[in-house]
Amino acid sequence: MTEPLIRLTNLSKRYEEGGQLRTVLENARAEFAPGEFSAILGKSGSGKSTLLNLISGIDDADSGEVWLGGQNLLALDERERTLFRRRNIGFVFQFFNLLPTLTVLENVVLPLELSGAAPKAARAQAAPLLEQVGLADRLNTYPDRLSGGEQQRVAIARALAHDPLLVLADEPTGNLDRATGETVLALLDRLTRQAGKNLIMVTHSQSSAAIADTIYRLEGGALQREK
Amino acid sequence: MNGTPRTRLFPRTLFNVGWRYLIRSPWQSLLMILGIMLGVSVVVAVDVANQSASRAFDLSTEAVAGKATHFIAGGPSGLDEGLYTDLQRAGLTHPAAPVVADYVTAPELGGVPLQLLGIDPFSDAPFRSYLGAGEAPLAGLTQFLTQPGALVLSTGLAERYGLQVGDALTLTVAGQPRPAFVAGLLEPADDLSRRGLEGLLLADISTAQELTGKLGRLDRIDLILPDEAAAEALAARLPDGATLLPVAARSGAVEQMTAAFRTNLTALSLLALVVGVFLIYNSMTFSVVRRRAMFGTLRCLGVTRGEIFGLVVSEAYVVGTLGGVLGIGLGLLLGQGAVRLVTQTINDLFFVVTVQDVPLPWGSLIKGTLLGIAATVTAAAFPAWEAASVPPREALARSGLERKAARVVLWVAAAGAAMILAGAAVLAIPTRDLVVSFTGTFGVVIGCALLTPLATRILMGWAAALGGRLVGVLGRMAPREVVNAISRTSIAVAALMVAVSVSIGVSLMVGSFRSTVVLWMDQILQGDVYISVPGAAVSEMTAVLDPRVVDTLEDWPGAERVDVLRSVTVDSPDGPIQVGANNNPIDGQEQVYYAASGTPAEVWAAVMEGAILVSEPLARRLGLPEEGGTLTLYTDHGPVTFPVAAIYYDYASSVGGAILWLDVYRQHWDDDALTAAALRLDPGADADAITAELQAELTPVQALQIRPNRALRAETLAIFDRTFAITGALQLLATLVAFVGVLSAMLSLQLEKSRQLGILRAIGLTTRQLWGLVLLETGLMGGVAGLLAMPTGYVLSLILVYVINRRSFGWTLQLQLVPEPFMQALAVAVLAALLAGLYPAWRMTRRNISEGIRFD
Amino acid sequence: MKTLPQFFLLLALALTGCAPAPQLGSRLVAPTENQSGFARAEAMQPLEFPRDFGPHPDYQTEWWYYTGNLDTADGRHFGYQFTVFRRALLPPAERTERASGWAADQIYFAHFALSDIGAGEFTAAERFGRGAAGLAGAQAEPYAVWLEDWRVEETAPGVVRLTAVHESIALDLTLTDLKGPILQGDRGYSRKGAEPGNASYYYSQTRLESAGTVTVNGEAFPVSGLSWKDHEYSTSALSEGQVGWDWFALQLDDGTDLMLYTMRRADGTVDGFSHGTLILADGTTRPLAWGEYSITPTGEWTSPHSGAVYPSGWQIEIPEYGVSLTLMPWQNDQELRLSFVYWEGAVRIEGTHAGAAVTGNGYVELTGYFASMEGEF
Repeated sequence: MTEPLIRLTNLSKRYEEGGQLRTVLENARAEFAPGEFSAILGKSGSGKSTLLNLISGIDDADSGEVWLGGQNLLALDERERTLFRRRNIGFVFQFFNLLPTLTVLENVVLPLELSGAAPKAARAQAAPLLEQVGLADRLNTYPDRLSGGEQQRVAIARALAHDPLLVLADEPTGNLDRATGETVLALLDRLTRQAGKNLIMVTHSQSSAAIADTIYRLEGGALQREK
Repeated sequence: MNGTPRTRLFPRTLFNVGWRYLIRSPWQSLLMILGIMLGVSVVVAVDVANQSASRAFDLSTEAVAGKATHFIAGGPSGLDEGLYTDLQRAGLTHPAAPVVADYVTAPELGGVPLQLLGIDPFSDAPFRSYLGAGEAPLAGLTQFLTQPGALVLSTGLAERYGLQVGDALTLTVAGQPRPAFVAGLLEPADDLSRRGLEGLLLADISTAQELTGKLGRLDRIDLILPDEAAAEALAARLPDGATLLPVAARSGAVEQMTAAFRTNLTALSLLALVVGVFLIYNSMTFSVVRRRAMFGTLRCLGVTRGEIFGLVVSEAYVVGTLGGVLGIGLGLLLGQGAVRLVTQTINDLFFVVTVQDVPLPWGSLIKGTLLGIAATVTAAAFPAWEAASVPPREALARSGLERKAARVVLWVAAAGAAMILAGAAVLAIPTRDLVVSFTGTFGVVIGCALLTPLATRILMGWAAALGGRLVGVLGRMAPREVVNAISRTSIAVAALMVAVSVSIGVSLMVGSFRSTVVLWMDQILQGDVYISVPGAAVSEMTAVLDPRVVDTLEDWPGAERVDVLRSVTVDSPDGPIQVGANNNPIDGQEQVYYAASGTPAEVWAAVMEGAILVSEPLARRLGLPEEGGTLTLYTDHGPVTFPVAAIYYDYASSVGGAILWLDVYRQHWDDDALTAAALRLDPGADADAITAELQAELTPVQALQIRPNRALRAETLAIFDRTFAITGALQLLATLVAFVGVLSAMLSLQLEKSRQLGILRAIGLTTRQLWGLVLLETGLMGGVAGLLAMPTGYVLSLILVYVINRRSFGWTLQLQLVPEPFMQALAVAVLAALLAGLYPAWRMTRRNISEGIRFD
Repeated sequence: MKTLPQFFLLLALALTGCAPAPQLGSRLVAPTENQSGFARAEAMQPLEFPRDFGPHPDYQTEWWYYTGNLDTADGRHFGYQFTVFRRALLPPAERTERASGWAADQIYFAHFALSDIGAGEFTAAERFGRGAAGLAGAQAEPYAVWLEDWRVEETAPGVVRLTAVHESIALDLTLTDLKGPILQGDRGYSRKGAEPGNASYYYSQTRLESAGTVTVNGEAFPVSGLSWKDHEYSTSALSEGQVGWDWFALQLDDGTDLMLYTMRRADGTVDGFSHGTLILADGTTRPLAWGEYSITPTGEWTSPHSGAVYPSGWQIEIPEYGVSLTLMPWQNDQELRLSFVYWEGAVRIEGTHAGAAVTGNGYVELTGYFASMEGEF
């Protein structure tokens, strides 16, 4: 087995809710090998999103470590984590979260520019990606003119644009009809594999998870490997 | 990619996120720009007006005083002309120049007051260099020196009124027409002299004496003295009644007089900007709240907090710059009108200043732009911080700012209470510095504004209960909507509240002022018919009555008694002071005292013995004690210190004045002239008829203002109202800005709720009900603003009446609480809010339902 | 003697050029210079004193001209010039009654210069004033002429006090007339050109015994010496072709005084109306017509200030009276650069008169060397 790219050790996270302490994660641990497509299955409220937040460094754990490419994210401060994120992580959201004031092309260009690419180079890099997701003819369209499936394809291109270590997908098909969802998922799978990136997808859908290389189930705050 | 490539400071695409938002929300952006534009324009307009008036004053002072360092002044009737000759014949080591000056008007010169400056061309050159170089053919000088009525004016003034050399002018001097003519034109050496000369008519000193009737007299002798030693040596040579004074003392004192007036205007104009800041804050907050998910997404993509803060601030910067620049344009336009109002007031209350044109005030423009940008960016700072602190997970879930706002409301209220206390503490500092007083006032007003969210929440709770009972669910819904979006609604309410409370405060102050003045006039205007000489301007009321006029009055049938008044400006160690000397034996009973050394009868007895009465503004200005003070005046026989018998209320002048018994005045000044007379009629005599008869009889003798008591009062009140015209205009503008604020807030809120309204429509709400809901909501906001503005406005009026007015003008006003301003304010607030709700409501009802409920 | 027309020019320049002249801008209407309506010197009229010590306001131009050479007890030499000019602005018929005491139809101006030979300094000053309000004027009885605190005042018959202060220099002299008024020309009627009326009334007091103090930089020097006064009034215009004049007022130690002038024409020749007067010690006079005397410059001096080239040093011959005099300036730099640039300076004299050796002092006036007056006007 190759050295894991991502390793979660003993992650614990509790929230205070209405005066009660709710444990979301309890000593969760997992390892993801390079280039692997992993799915994390769980019911609503099982802590999937919290786990995703921790892996991407947008939230703090109460204890434990998140190792990503040799770096413990939780040891970084907020700004360092932001800068780490802009270089190493791509996001695909349930609600697409495209920036409404940017065109399709610009949405993909933004992460490139954020990680230091010159505007011209960024455009040259972003255009072929959009071609790969089948939106070469919609470059200058604003997101609100796109269908849900199209928006998510833009989101996939955006997630991969700046050549991240890891793509995180949060219910990427959750807001799409079944057929579209399958197409999008297949595209996501194909492109991340093609790029040799890790993909961690959080979902409640068994069928979506099926195409992953490994599957973890999140239950009672702990991660259980199923596949 | 895992390395650390150098990142750009601010990716260009990130800019697009910001400014495209402004473009894609044109209404919000336009309203923000409009708000800042109005705010800035008001500040610029007032600044332009203040600067123009002040600059015109400086220039005319400079044009008139020239390079003089000192001047010799005499009593009210000036100096004996022989003094100059005596000094020159005895030998003067330093340049000296005699001057005869007066304000005159001429129909050919637009009827505006102009200064007639009589000089001696042989001694004047070291003083007034604006005469410029160039050849002066002997014949031109000959005409200037030898032709009666020969005047020289600047080419600018001549061109303005289409005058040419040789044209006749009819000057009005102290009510008398005097023929004059244009003997020559001056080509000013530079732009400054050009503007300085705009309000000046130049004549030989002999001509000036003849035109003004000051035969044998000089108004002053200008001097250029190298040091204090030379001044002291010269002062020692002067006879009694001639006083050597530094030039700066007089012009400084005059400048000082208007400082308070101008500060007041600036403060009012800043208020409009403050309301504009509320508006920006409101709009920016809204735009941030609306984009929380987007900011979350950006944070997920690795945009730092600093970059998001910068993004929002840069949006504000764009708005501020645009609003600032547009505001300057509008400000310059408004400034033209404001200059007129400000100049009018200065002429009414202080001194004559002629502003012929408004130069492009670069200082005001730069100030305006910077203020606009600074205000916007400051207003955006909190929303920007708010945006920067949006956690990335907001991208993943919608959450409530409003829950957070609910907690913040209490903190804001606490901060408001603290600010009110701090403001009150600042106001308690006993200072005459208006900037300090206004800082305190702003503290109190903004503190009250900060209490708005809490007050809104409480009031809406009551409204929900009431509304539920009256109109059911919808009645409950509207107030709850207001509370749910309290972070934004309360700001709109606060902005409107501030504008409306200022309106209440200022209205109450002006109303109290007016009623105080009316009461005061009732007390002091006891004569039946008043006779005076029309001056070039209201503030120049020292023109002399023809002695034949007084003789005629004394013998007039129906006249029980004639009281006469000599009103003059005399110099004192504290600058020029307006002194009124009268022979009204019961004047003491007719004054209203702020502080007195005894009963009115005792006070007047003291005055007849040589004591002086001092007006409240003057007493405050000089810091006189309530009892036992003294006032020193330079009389024709040297300085004399008068005991102050009492301090009387006087609303005629913020500069202040003093009253002497006429006989006492004539002991100290060799001046038999009279300025005005008041006729007391036998009971039953018809004042109007006698006025008409006197007019017919006296007009051939002298052009006079003969006014029955009633007319004089009306005129005084007219001047009073004119003084506050600009205040009213500023108030209106502040309310307009607030209206834009509420409109903007309403629009934002309703747009945000389009989905919810769509649902309501889907479940069967009629268009009419939708209108009702939206208008109920905005009406409630307006109502809350109006209600909260009442106590705030009341507090503000207390501050204006008891702190600001007293400190800046020295007037004690009797606060007059009347319901009208409050009712008006409530009506304005509700109406403004309802108006602001019209467009959003119309837009909502026009939208189709499916569009509304479609998930964005 | 100063030729009349030039002084219109002098005055006009004075009112336009240097400080402290009033500068009333360029657009004042300017009808052409007009002398009509003024009284003119058209014929001999007997002069009467003290009446004619005073002003003659109906004539356009008038001046009172004092020059003198003074010495301290230890031989420090001073020369001074003090002149008050009067100029009528309006001819008598156009004058109106004005209510203001400042209304003036006469203006006065004055030149005051001191040559401090010991220090090699020369200082000159100028003043203007209106002939009204007591600021400037002249009167016959008692005789006085003044401009502010520059003044000449009669203190006793034949005795005047002259006082003037300007910055660092001051003069306070008592002048006693030793010879009485000397009428120039034909009993005081002095013709200047061929046209009738181109003439002036002109008398002098050629030998005024002078005593008093000269103050320089706060130091007062008691002095004594001789002064000369000219008083002249006229209404006249510059004759065509005249560019300037050289004028001499010479006082010899044998009691003889001599006034001479030459009127220079543009072509370098001397106008035939130039003339002079020899005043003997007893006050009797001998008129000198052009041709009866000669004035030959012996050197020249170039002003470092104005660049004008002046004659410097003269040989004067009057064969008929046995007068042969050599004149040398006490110092070269006695050039006045006021509204008008001219040289007016103290000279010392050596020579013979009627066979006897004489010495003396005098004043020489040189005009028209800086700029032709005719061209200016």
